[in-house]
Amino acid sequence: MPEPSMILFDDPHHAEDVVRRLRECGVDDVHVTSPAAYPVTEETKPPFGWRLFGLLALTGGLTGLATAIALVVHGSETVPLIVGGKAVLAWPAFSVVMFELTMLGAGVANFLGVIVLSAVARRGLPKRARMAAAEGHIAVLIPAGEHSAEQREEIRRVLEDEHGVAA
Amino acid sequence: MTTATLSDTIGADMEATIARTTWRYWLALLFAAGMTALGIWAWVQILQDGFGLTGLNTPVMWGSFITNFVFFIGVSHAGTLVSAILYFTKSPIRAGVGRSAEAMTVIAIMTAGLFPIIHLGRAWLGFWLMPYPNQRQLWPNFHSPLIWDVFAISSYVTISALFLYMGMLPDLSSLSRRVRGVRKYVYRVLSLGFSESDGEWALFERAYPIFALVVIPLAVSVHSVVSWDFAMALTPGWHSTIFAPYFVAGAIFSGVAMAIILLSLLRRGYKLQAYIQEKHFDALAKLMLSMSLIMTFVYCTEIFMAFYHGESVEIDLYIWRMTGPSAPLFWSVIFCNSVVPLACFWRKIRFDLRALIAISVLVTIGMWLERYMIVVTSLSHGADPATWGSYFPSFHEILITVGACGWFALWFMVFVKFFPCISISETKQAQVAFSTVPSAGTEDSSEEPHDA
Repeated sequence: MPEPSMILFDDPHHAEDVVRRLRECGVDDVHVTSPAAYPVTEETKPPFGWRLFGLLALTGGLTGLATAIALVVHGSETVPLIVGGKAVLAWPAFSVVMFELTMLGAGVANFLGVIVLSAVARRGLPKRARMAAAEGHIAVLIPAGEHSAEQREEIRRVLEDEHGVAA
Repeated sequence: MTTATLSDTIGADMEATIARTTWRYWLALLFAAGMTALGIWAWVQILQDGFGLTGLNTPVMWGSFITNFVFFIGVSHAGTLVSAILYFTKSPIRAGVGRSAEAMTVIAIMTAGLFPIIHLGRAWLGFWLMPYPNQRQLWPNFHSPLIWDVFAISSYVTISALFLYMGMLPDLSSLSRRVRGVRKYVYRVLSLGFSESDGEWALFERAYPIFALVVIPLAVSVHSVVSWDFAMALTPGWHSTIFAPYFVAGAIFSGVAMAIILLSLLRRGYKLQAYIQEKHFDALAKLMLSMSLIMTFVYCTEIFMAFYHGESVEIDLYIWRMTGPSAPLFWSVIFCNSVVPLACFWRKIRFDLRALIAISVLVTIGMWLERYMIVVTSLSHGADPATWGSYFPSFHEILITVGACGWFALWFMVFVKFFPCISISETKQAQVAFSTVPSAGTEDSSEEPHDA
């Protein structure tokens, strides 16, 4: 697979303008490496949406809740203590454990989601782009994919205007 | 300043906090380690000879250990909670204070978590608190607030540690390319391969708010659950519906005071005036003042309710607290927590770091005394006069308290030695988004102070 062309920027706003300019002419597969979460990182097409993280947290939370219910019911029925006249299965008293484990499950699932999906998101990233971000630059990567004549002309113009490095 | 120069300057400044070790640091570390050693020695003595070495006796079976537990849980409160709230409000001060505050949270919970174990006496049976299938055929009592504590604190420490770690991933990646030797390898492993691509930043930007959203209710629930350790009992002075918000407000109050102390030490020790600015302290001082006013309101409400509902044991307890042998304790609490912070109404005080540190130290002492007052005076002056008694921490308990402070300081110093105490990536982001962080290495360029 051919290496993408790369343009280096020191001004995040400038990089943002260029990415927007490319997207306006239909070049959607632009990628960026950046030393911080500058707005330009939101201009490219995100690999995963908000919904995925919501679902991950929800799944983790529900798993935590189910674990909590199983734990309190099994634990209380195994040792049926009557405390303060409360029923053995006293749901108000159990609600605290259920809440805590729900939140724990949601948080842990969210964290694991970031770790696993990050590994997926950075696949195929050229080393020179990583190095550029490490040195504090913002690198805009334009893949050498199938582009129309108009898009190729716009990419050429952008590379020329911004002193980009073609692969 | 270009992003490359900015990255280089911020990175170099943070690298310096890790690489540069002054004799003052070593001295402070030695002092903290010495305090910790004293605490460990006292604990070992108690493990060997039993609880007779403590001042605990009927009716006061909860003393300085539980006071320390509640106090350190309180200190832990401000860090992650404030950091998460600042994240949602997109506050520019988060870049400067967030990391240290989050680290403070994790270390304070680690410290607090020691005390229930110490208080058990037979610490080696501490694992009995954990709910797991066991040969004893016993499960913990899920109706008890004490077991709620186990779940609340375990969840909070896990989520706070992950919140801190997740925020550090970009910085660990950045540091792995700046340092050499073993550290380079360690940072690279800890950064989990984070490589600053747009996909990873997008993931980060999506996952972080959800994490912050989980942290806020969890933080509120933890101190509520700690307050229910007391409020669920029918003891005068404890059995109150106001206890959960009372404890949460007190926790934020003491946590902010501790954050001011730690940040001012970091700022001075590592010359971080460009990152931890006077405006950060101004914002924290305003928060501390607000919390002080809430605490004063709660103190008044507690006394008002005791007198209004007319229960004689409650009235008697509050009169005894205010005028009896524990009156110096009560009035010290009022002075430190309600009177002293009022000085923060003056802008000159909020911008005078020495004055702010002095206020924060007094608030920290006041909040420890308040926890002590709640725990001890309610037990020593219960509903039945035949069971009244007194308590004063023994020499060993005092040493363990000193040891806990040393333990807390020791781990915080170890943290700042190995990890960046200010978020590198967020500082870069703030520089572009708010243009408020001055160029690194320059003096504080805060705007003119204005009235609260």
